[in-house]
Amino acid sequence: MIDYEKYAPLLAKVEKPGRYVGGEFRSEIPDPEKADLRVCFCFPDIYEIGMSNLGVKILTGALNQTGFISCERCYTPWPDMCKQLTENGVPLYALESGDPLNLFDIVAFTLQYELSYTNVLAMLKLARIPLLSSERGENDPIIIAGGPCAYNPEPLADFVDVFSIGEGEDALVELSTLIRDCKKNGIGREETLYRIAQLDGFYVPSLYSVTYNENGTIASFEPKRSNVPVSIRKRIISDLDNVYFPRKCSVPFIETVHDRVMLEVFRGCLRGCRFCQAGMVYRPYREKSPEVLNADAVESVANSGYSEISLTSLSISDYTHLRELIDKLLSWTDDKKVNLSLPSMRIDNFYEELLEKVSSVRKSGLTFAPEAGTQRLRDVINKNITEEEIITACEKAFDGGRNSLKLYFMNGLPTETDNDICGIAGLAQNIVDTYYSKKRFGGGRGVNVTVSVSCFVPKPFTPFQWCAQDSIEELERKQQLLKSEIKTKKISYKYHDARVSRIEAVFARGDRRLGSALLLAAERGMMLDGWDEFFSYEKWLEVFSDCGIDPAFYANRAFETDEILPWDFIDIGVTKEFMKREYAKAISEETTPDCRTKCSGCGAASLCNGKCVCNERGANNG
Amino acid sequence: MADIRVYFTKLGRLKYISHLDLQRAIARLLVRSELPIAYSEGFNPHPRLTITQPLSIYQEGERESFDFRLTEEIDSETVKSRLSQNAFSGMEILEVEVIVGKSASKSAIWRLELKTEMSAEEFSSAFKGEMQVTKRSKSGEKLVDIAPLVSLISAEKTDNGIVARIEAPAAGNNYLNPSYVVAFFGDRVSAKRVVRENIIF
Repeated sequence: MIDYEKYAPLLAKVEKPGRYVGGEFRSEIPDPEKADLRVCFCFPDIYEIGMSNLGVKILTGALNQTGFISCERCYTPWPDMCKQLTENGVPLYALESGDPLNLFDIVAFTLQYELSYTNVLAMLKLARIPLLSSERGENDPIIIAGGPCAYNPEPLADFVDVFSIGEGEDALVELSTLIRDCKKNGIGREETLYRIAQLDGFYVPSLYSVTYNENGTIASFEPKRSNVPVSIRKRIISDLDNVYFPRKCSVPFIETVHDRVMLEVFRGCLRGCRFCQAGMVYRPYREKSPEVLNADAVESVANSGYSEISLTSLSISDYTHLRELIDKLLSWTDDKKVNLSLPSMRIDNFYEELLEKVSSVRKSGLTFAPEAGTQRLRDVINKNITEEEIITACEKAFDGGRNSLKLYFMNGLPTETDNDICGIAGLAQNIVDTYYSKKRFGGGRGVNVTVSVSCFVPKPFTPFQWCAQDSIEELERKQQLLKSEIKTKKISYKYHDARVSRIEAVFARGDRRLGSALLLAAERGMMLDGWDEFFSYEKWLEVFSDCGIDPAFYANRAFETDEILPWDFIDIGVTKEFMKREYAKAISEETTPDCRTKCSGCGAASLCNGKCVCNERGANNG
Repeated sequence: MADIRVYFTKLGRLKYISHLDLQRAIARLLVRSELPIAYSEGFNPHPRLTITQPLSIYQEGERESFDFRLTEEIDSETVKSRLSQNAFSGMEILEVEVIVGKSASKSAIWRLELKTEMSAEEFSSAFKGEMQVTKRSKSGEKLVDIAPLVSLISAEKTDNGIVARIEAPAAGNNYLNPSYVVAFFGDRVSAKRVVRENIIF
């Protein structure tokens, strides 16, 4: 058990020391001394965010039940704790044993967003693990990384020994088994990495070399050794009903962002929004059965004492068995005083019926994500939602007694004009007018429409991966234009910092040359860039300029459809040809129906032997 | 219906957990224990639960207590074993009793494990005079003499310090945090552990 008393002098000087001591209910792990392999699973952001992540719960749980692994956790310390660790010469430690990270066999990171890359480096530095893969020796841990941002692993290629591409439940166990066997047989680091590179779904960046054209684009990307694959196909779990799901999760003391039971109803998404990376990289669409989900929920509540269950998937209304699942859950949740929250639920008759009948269904905030202000631009991005549908849903919600809602948009989308920006204000105004079109309950209560606008960031593996991001000046001009178009106080307007989105774009579409920038940023102590209070655009510009990197090359350049993209060697199942087709359709303002209505031939079905939601075998299967 | 008082420890790593977080953790403990508990009214019902006295972060408790209400009669041993099975590390369920009527806490016995070069006599004598400390409240800072509030039970010299036991008021409207006693001695002492041994009703 952790001798946390040795950390007491540090803990006495930080805000929320509970972040750094572990000991949560059900956080017990297999004895590290008896395990063949020790893994420290790191979330490169603070405890409250990392402890909310379902993926971490799944993967740490899956590793800890193998019988030969002891897997612990670590989160990015807040600057006050970083200061204490550094000043007292204490290396960053794992929460369960209190042992420093550099004693582990594997240190794993999940990459959830680009702005957490500096946290990865900051954590390695605090743990006194050499930042560069090339500088690590036989006694250093193997650094692995996975998660959504690993689909373009290149910006972190200098620092991460192994990337896990795709879903990790089976893959990480395979990887751990191989590393254990190598360790047992005294096989050195280099040979171990070479063997890992031959496993399905793993990318070892040091085994590839890249050359560049004069204009800065990639000329070649090739394996350095034989048997190292040219292309790495992502791993998926084909049967979600029979894959490990953690029914005994640790229950944090500190209130986390998502402090509840989370049920993953399906993976993938039927809708092909052309800006959305999650919608593409998680294909094909695979459902879990309502029976298994209900059993997961019953046990998770009993084991945790949580009083809320949240259904977390990309667009929950698409679930084939939604009614059945909700009926199953409601048959016991009311009695147990357990709330049900259905975040991404479409506002339709079924939903309103539910709200009326069942008090245990949490009235979640009413939100819509039209993403664009005009039908033309919604067709470009393939967001198949019409203004009429939105107004009808609002009407229902207003009739039901609600008077506030939130709308999400993006600005800077490909082909966007000022007319599209003005359309955002117009749509919000129409909703306000809808509210006042008839007498509503509550007499004097007014309506409040929140318009929240983020900046478009072109992401790898989307049909918009080739598109340039608008310049900061242009994004800010559009933000101000929209501000001037909003004429009423009934509409509150929020927008994201365009400078943050630009840095995000640089790393999203970056290549391995960005490693020098990340290294310099780490040297300069930059971290927690996802936090407004720590993000500094000026510092980033300095870093880029000191490294001779032009951020515009990555963020604001339209990539050629025939150039080699930094992430081309990753195979997500969905083909580049499909992306090109979708991009062309976007430009000609044509939509693509959802996968259930008509197969668009994206290629993802090849990941599960041709079975997919779009064909009959798939439908029967789901 | 029965009002139940549970005596428990808050030791070890739990000293880093705030009062509010502990409250939420106990509510979840009650749910996990599957006892028939009374819930609050309202849109989001939660278990009716009162922790007798909050404990500041960094302080431990050897005999803390919380109250809740059972809607069916269940013997105390069963309650105790269900709670014990579902408790988290650092919390031991010591005793469960049925309480009749409201009984409020009056004072608490504290053990201060201090690092200091002072002698036990020197330390003890301080309690005989005035003990002026700066107390912060909503209305600002003011100097208060805490000597009349605190009684020193014992002070024993240890290897590198003193273990002092004191009694201080611990009623809802009259509470003295022993950190003021530590603060009174300024840099002559530093607290290694502050433990509430018992709450007196």
